[in-house]
Amino acid sequence: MARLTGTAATRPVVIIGAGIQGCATAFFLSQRGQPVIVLEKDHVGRHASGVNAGGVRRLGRDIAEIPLSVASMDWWNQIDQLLDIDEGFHRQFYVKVALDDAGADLASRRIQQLHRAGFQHETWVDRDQLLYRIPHLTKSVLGGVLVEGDGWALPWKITRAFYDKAAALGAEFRSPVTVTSIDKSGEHWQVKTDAGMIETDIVVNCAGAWGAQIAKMTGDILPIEAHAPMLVITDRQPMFLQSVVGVMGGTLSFKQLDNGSMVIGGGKRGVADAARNLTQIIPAGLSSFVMTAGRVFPHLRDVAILRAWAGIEGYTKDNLPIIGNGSQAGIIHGFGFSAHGFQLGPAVGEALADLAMARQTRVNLTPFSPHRFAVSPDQAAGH
Amino acid sequence: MANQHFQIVIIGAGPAGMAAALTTTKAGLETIVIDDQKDSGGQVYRNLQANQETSPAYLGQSYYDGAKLAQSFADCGAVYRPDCTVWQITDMHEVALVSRGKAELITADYIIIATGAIERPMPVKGWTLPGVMSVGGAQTMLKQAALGADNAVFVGSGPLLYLTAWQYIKAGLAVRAVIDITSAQQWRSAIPFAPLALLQPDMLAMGRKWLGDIRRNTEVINHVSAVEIIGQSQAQAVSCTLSSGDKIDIDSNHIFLHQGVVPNVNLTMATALAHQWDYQAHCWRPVIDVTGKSSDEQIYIAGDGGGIGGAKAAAIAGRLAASAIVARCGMPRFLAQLYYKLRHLHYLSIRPFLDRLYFPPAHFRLAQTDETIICRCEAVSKADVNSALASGASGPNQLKAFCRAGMGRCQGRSCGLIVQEMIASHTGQSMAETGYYRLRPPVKPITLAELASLEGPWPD
Amino acid sequence: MFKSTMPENGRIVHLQFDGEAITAFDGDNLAAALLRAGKVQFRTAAKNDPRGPYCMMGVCFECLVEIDGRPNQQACQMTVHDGMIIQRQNAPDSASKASG
Repeated sequence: MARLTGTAATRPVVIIGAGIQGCATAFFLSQRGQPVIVLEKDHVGRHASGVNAGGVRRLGRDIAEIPLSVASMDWWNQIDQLLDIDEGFHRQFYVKVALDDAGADLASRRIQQLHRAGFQHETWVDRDQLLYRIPHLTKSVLGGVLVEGDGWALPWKITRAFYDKAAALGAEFRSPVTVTSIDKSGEHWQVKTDAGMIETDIVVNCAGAWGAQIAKMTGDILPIEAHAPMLVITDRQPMFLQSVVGVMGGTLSFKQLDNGSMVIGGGKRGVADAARNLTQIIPAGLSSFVMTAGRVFPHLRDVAILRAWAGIEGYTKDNLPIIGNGSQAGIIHGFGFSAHGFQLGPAVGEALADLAMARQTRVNLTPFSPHRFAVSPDQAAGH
Repeated sequence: MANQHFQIVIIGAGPAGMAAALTTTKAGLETIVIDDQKDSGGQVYRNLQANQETSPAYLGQSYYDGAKLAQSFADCGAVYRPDCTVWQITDMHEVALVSRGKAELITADYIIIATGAIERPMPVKGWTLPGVMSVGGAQTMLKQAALGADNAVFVGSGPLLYLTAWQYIKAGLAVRAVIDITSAQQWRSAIPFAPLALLQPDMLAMGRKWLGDIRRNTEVINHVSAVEIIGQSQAQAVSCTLSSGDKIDIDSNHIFLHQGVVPNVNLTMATALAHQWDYQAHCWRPVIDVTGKSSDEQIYIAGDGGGIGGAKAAAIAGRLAASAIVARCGMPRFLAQLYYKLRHLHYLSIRPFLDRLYFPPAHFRLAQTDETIICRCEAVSKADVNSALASGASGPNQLKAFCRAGMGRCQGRSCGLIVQEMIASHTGQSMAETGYYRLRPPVKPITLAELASLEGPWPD
Repeated sequence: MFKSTMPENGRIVHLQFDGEAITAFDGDNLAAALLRAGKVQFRTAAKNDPRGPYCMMGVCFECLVEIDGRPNQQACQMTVHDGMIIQRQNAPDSASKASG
């Protein structure tokens, strides 16, 4: 097997999926002079990467993810220069508010846990401070866990910007192209699609909710489930929020865009049909998360929802992404971000590019190893 | 509170919805009719029952023809819920609606969507100015409020325009001018289908009457190739370009635009029902079988919402869909269905002729100047859309992200067809290939408190 | 000018539009009542982009006014009541075109 030794491979690296992970990987590889072909079955940013809530946060991460998230934040803080865009990252602060004692308790334990692990970025902020910084919060808020310097971005804009910059640096994007099989051919891989076959040494699987299907083609059984978390966007309101607000113990998030619209994500799931690119909004679920929204910002009662949607996302059992080398040489996986992959995108792209060039990654990827899902051949046969 | 359940949920109380309810209630099926207006009749029979008291003659006989249907509907025993807005139909056939600030879910065995038509947008420079309305809007004001504008100018083409101008004249209003954009070429393409149209001589006679009265009572300017509306804080004048190249300016504060009606597909598209591009009528329509059954076995579409046919065709389509459902509920209606199918075909026989005669000209389907607003809600101009296209937006949904067209409150109703036209023109793709906005619920805006009310009262 | 095409009758009700007293008939459609009173502009869509009713059937969302403190009410879908207070609605200053 021809292995890369930190330099460019002769054959283009094939990346499957043009969401943020795939586009960021393409960007970093192209920047390093490595030819890349990205295969996308729909179009750039069509799924979770284009339609998520846009949170750019270190807040609330699983401890195992924090180093990756912190590394990614370095990129976010220079995203405009990196990608030649304007106002890519709205750097504000992010706070998860505690609405009741249970929430306050969770907050306290969380901060202790983080401090013990050596992380200081999350701090408790009390009710008075919180109401001072976010006057429209419900008066019954008890306080919150806050990270300065977190914020938000427009998911479609950033994904598109990685794509544009990667393309400008020489990356080739082909869509709509669907991968049908990935077969070993001597020391190389043959990626077969509905538009022809590509021979390569390295395949990077960034296929999101379809990542398990692609992984299976390479002999890796990496189970994920496709779900569709729901979001809404409202009509424009006078600006009142200069931070991103979440809820302790929940996945609700609020942000206010520059034009005054609110994007509210609730973590409540709609129905996902990954095979047909279809999602369903569930009225009861939507209602429930909007009710929670009302507990945080009761003044929003007459704000109109103009659109609800749900993006198809891939979730792993342990809610941690799958990032790392597959069981066979030349296969690299980067999917299963379980609805919190957007902020990680830049660092993941960098890490996947490092793996593709057999370089040491900046961040230890062990917690995300595909091998944590290793199954015996018998178990595999049962799938 | 447990959700209500009905065997038949009919959405829309226009002629199709009302007629469908007559058939389902007669067969003993529990029926609810949900409508967003305050009275039944939809748009074509708007305010019919109230108008019967004073019976203004200028509204015309075909309007009052709907009275019997409206009365029968009022008596038929269906549960009738006016002033309710449907915002979603789920794949479990739950109909989510909001009424007086409160959301409800109603489950159904069968759903008949009869939400009718909307105007085809007519993007001319200045069309967003106060004083500019659609011809449908002008007609609705006559029906709803006995209100009309003096010295108005009607611009465009199509039966609704001629009917409304005629109604205006009969109501004693001074119509300043009718500016007709139909080209001579359109006449030529329609004439071969005139024999079919002769199957409905009364319709043709009515049309001739309207056109005759219009010609006798106002200035008619034919074969106009470009139109601009002038004004700052409101419409002051309309400038039109003749086929000769000459320009005429006409002063008026009231400009009424029209270039046909198209099925209102927002609810059907958001419900993920199959749609197709209708090349003859140049619009989207749901894919339905001859009885109106959609790509969902439990959902039928009746009336203009399934394809433009007018009020009488709509009523028959309502009967037809309802009979098909009644048959599926164990009460076969062979003869009735056959009769309805034939009547439906008969009423639709004039469409090939009308669709060709009043086919919207390309230069009016597309805006003609860079400053023309394309997306009214977000004030996105033709130049803005072109800029997004130049940046690589290759479809309506990508375009939304680039320039916000289609992201406003009307959810694409005013701009969708224009944007599609612009993309098709830019990319060289067909209208069918170009596609349309991916529509999602809520199909009409709903407030946070209204949505939350499915769960309980809004927090203080 | 909008004018009535039938003899006007009915109970008079009193409304306020942007602080100005106007009259209407009980049961009037609000958009029609405002037009009859000579008010063609109901709002601004963005700074200096005046708008008024267009479709009269609830699909264009141009006729948005604030009624008795509630914003974004479609005037063409509302019926007047005595004492109704209507305000022109103006876009929030942050309204802007282009992505963002």
